[in-house]
Amino acid sequence: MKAMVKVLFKGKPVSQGFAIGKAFILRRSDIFREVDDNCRAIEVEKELEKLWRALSKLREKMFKLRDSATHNQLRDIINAQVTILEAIAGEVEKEIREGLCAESSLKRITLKHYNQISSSGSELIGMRADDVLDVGTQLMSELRGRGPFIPPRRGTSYWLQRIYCLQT
Amino acid sequence: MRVLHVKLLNKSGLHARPASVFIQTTKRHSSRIIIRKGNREADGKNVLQILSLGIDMGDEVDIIIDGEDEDVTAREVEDFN
Repeated sequence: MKAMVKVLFKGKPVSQGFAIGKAFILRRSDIFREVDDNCRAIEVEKELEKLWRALSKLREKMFKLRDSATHNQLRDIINAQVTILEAIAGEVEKEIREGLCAESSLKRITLKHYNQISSSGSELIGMRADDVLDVGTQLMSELRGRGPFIPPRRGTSYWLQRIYCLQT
Repeated sequence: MRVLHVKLLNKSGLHARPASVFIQTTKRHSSRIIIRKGNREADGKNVLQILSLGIDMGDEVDIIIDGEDEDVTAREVEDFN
């Protein structure tokens, strides 16, 4: 018999409808823990193709979101995230060419920059490390063929990721 | 080679959005751009390296521009602030 999993969310119940305010999405926090630190690329060209496919899929999603945004501020935020995404992918590409597999390299690069930025000495900029982790996580989800939302499962830790909703 | 000594005026520092706009400027030019804060350096065309410097409002940095189009690049970088 299959065990039933009950997931309980705590908070204030609200009526259905539209709301303006902060929004959060639930995402697994351990996606990087599932990835080997030193997996080698068996075929470099295939690893590069995998990276480019994931990059182009994610970039397309981000552009779609940007183009549907009604606020310039939100469009600027998404543009900044695309710049971060391309910088991460550029560094991953270099490491794949040196023989690392895409996932190991993405894990290494994302966590390296996350740690560097969060300890940069500036509290405000340190908070931007979350942008790097978020973009890296999304790219990892694409690489591993996962959607952005993974339903809750017993024994797995989650984090609440802020998404951007602007007050009008 | 041009060296600009810049004091950052943006009230929230060189965080992701301004860094991204800065990079859109620097990537249009072929010159090599290095940002130096204290004894740390970043590639002026790499957003991750720039964020790692943690440049806050009021921080002073040197921007070293070296290449064929260094004069026009320097003018645009100066305008950015």
